[in-house]
Amino acid sequence: MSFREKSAWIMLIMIVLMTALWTAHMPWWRPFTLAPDPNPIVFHALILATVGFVVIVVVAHIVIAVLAPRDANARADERERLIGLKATRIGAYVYAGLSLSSIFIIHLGANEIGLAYFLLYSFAIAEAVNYAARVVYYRRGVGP
Amino acid sequence: MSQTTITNSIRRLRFERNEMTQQDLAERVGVTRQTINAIELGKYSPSLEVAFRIAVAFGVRLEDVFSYDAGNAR
Repeated sequence: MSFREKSAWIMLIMIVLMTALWTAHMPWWRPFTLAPDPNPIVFHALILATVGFVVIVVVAHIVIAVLAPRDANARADERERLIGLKATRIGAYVYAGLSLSSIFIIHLGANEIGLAYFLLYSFAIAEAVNYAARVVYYRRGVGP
Repeated sequence: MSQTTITNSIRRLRFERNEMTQQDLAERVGVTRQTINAIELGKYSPSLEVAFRIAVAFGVRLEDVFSYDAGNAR
């Protein structure tokens, strides 16, 4: 498994984990009602999740780079660049689709806080799809 | 699965060259070992430039490494 494939796995797992942990700290109804947030603990949980995410991702990348330094220092070749481009395109479509659908969220009665939650989840989902697509392309192969 | 109608003889050519490793070939061609493995398994069709570099690494013509099955092409 190449350095970039390991990296994609790390990012995918961490994005899913961070989103799940952050959601678990929210009142169970919040993602569904998109109501304003009266409790600052949710914001603190978001900060903690973000900082924790960055620290864990950096440490994990250092570990896999130390274990295989030649792989880590190698420049991305044409196949890896193609996988990156294709996966990023899929993620961008997902993000664009979800972002545009935020119009409907407003019509459903969400306020600015609800809209912010929705856009944040949209970003997390799009990035998870991006890295999941990378993993699939690395595992199953990539065509033109 | 991105299987292609392009087949290759990389495995045989490596064997004939004293069991050249995928890593050796990858270094000569300038790609990662995983990409050589993906090409060998038919999971990735390389660019024309990389295909030529593989042929040069083996010292053979391009058509001695890659062949195109027109019968299975869409």
